[in-house]
Amino acid sequence: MAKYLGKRLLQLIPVFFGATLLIYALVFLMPGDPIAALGGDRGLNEEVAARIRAERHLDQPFLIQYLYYIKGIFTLDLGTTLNARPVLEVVANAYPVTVKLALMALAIEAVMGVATGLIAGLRKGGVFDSTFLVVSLVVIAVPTFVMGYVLQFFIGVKLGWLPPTAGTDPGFKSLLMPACALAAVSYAYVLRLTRVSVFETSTADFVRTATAKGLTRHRVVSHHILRNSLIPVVTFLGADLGALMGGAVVTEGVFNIHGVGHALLQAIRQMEPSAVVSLVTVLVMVYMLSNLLVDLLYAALDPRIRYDS
Amino acid sequence: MKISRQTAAIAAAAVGLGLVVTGCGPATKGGGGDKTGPTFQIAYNADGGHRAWVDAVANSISNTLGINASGAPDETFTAFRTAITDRTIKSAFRSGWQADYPRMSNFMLPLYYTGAGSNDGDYSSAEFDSLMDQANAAATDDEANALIRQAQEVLFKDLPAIPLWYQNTVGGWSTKVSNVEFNWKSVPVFEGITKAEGGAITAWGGEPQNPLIPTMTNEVNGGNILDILFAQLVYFDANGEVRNELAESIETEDSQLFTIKIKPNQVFANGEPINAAAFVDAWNYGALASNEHLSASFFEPIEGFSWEEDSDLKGKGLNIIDDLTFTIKLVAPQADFPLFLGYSAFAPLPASAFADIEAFGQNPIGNGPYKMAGPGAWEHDRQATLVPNENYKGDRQAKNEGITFKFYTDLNAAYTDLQANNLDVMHAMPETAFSTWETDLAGRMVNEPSAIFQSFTISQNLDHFKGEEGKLRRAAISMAIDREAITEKIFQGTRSPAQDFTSPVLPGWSGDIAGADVLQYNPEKAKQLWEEANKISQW
Repeated sequence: MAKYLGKRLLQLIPVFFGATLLIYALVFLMPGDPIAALGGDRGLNEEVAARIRAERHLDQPFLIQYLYYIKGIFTLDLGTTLNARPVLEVVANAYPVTVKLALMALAIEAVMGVATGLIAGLRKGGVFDSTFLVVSLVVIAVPTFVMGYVLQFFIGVKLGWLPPTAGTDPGFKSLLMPACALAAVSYAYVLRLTRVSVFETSTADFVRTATAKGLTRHRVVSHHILRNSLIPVVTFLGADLGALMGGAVVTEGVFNIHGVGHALLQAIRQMEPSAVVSLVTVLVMVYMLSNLLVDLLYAALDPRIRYDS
Repeated sequence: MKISRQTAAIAAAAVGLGLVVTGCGPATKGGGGDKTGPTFQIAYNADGGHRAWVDAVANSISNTLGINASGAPDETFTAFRTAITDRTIKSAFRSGWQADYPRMSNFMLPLYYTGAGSNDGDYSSAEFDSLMDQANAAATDDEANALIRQAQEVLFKDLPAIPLWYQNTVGGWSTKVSNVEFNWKSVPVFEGITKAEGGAITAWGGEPQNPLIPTMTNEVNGGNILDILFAQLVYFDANGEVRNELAESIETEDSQLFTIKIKPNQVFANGEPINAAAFVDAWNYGALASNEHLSASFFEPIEGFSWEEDSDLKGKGLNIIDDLTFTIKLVAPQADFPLFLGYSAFAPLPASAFADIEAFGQNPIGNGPYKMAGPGAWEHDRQATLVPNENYKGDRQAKNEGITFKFYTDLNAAYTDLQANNLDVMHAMPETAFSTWETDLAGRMVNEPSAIFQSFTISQNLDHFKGEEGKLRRAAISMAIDREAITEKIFQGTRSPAQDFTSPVLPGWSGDIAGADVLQYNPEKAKQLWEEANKISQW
C-alpha cells in the first residue's frame, strides 16, 4: 500500500512540470503585449515599458522565463501581479470559495444521484424510473451556464428565495443555487450510472443468494446491492471533483463568486503568466489527487482489489 | 484622446458593441451586379468589435450610391494604427475620439487643426484654423462657442471626416436609490446619490489593475475609485463646467508660466496638510522615470521632464513660492493646460505616502469626498469600501453613507443583482439586456449621448477626394449612410446619430449648425451629388 502510494505520488512530479510548462507556453503565446496594454489610451513610453519588461523578465526568451517561474515556486516567491499583489496571495484567496462550491456540488450530486439512481434501478421501468430518466436527459442537454441563468432569474430575482449572486465571502445559502447549477449535469450522470449498476447487481447470483439466506430486503439493498454498485459511481465522482472545480469557472462568472474562475479570468485578461499558471497548476494537482483518492477508495469498496502484490 | 484598442474593448464591454447582432447584413463585396469602378473601403481594426457597424455603413453607401464599398479589416489595432500614422493607408479609416476634458475644442483642435497630432487625414483649412485661434483667444465662453460653431460650419462643407454617431452613456439603478446623475465621463456622480434606507451605496466596479496611486492608474476600474478618493486643483461638475476645487486661483499671462494658489486650511483624510509641497512632491514622484508610473506622460509638458533620466521637476518646472503657492512652467505655451489639472494624475499626496509607496497603493489616503473605510478596505477581487471623508471641504460633499464598489467580471451577474436590488447603481449594461432593459428598469436607466464620438476619416491625400470633386463625394457618402437604422439595428439604440463633430454633453453644444443636414440620410441628394462629382472625374 505505502509503496503504491509512493509510486503514485512520484508520478505527480513529471505531471507538475509538464502542466506548468504547457500552460506557461500557452500564456506566452497569447497574442498581445501586456505591458503595452498597461499604457492604455495614452500609450506607455518605451523607456518605461522596457524597464517594466526587464523587471518581470519579459524581455527574456521563453525557457528562461519559465525557469524563473520554477525558481519562484521553490523559493515560494511567485512574484506579484501588475497591481502589486503577491501571486501566492491571489491563489490562496481564490481557492477556498471554489473548493467550498465544488464540494457542495459534489455532495449534492452524490447524495441526490445515488438516492434517485438506487430507487430507479430497483424499480426499473416504473413511473419513478421513467420520470427521472426524462429529467436527467433534460438536465444533460442544458449547458451549465443556461441552468445558472435560469435558476438565478426565477429563484433569485423573481421569487427572491435565495440571493441571485454570491458576492463577498458567501455562506452556505449564497452558494446553494450555484452549487445546484454546477452539480446538475453530473447529477444526471450519477443517477444514470447508479441506476444501471444497481439494476445489473440486483440480478446477480450473490444477491439472489443473500435473499435466499433470508436477509431482510433492507440489508440486501444496503450491504449487497448498493456497495457493489458504487464502484463505477465513485470513479466518476472522483474524476468529477476536478471537473467541477474547472467547471466552476463558468458558474462563478454567472453568480459573481470571487473564486478561481474570477481570478483566472482576471489573470488571463491581464496576461499575467505567473498567476495563470499557478491557478491552473493547482487545478491540475487537485485533479490528480482526487484520482488517486478514487483508486484508494476502490480497495475499501471491493476487498478483491489490493495494491500490494 | 484617440480611442485605442483597450478603450474600444472597454466600451464594447460597457455598451455591448459586440458582434452578435448584424441586422444590416454584410457589405456587398466587389464585382456584384452593375456596380462599377473602384471599391470604397473603410479600414478598421478587427480586434475592437467594429466589423458589424463598418460593414453596415459600407453596405448603406454601396446600396445608395450604386458603387462597390466594403470594410477593410486590419488584424490588430497596432497594425491599423501604424498604417495611419505612417500614412501608408490607402482607404478611408474609422476614427473614434473620446474627450480628455469636456470642451468642444478638445474634439476639433487635435483632429482637424493644420498639423495637429491626431489630424490623421492631413486636413488643412486656413479658415477653420483662424476661427479656432480666435475661439481660443475669446474673452467669454459664449464668444468662443459662437466661433466654434462657425468653425464647425467649415467642417460640414469640407467633411474631413464623416461623423457617424455618439456612443451613449448607459446605466441603471435600483429602486433603493435616487438622485442618480451621470457625468460627462459616463460615470455616476457618486457623491450625489441618496439612499432612503441608509447604508452604503453599492456600485458596479472591477478589480483595479494597478495600485491605487493617482499617477499609477490609467484604467477605469481604479479611476472610478480614485475620482472620489482624491480632489485636484479643479474639477468638472456634472455639466462639464470646470470649477476650482483645491485651487484658490490659477493665474497665467502667457499660458506657459502658471501661478497656483491653494485654498488655506485643507487637510488629507489623515489630517496631514494640503500645501504646495503636497502637490509638487506628488507630481515630481509621478514624473520620475525610475518610478515607472503609468501616467508619467501627463507631466511631459512641464519643463525639466525627461524619459531618459530621473529629472527633478522641482526647481525647474515646479517651484514652491510659499506654503500655499507654487508655479508651473511649461516647455511651450498650452492654453488648455489648467483643464488637465482636473485629471486624477494631478492629485496631491500626503508626505507619509512616500515613506512606503507600496503600502500606500494598497491603502491610499486621499483628500476627496470619500476615504477608504479602513486598512484593507480594498479587498482584492471582491470589493472596495469607501466612506465619506469628514475632512473634505469642497463642493462634492457626499450625500450618502458611503460607496462600496462590488467587483464583477460578468456584466450579466451585475445586471441580475441590479434587478434584485442587490446592486444600487451600474454604468454599463450587458448586451443581452438591451431588448428588455427599458421595461425592467422603467424610469431607472440612462441612455444618452456621451463624450465619445465615432466617425471615419477620408484622407485629403486620397484620389477622387480632393478639391471640389472631393467635397461633392464626401457629402454624397455622408448622405448615403442611414445612421438612424444602423444605430437602431446594430447598436440597439445605444448610439445616437451624430449632429456635429463634438458631443451633446459638452457645455455650449448646439444641435442645429448650418450645413448639418449633410448628416441626414438622403439617398436622392446623395446620388445626385455623386453624379455631379462624376462629371468632374469619373469614379
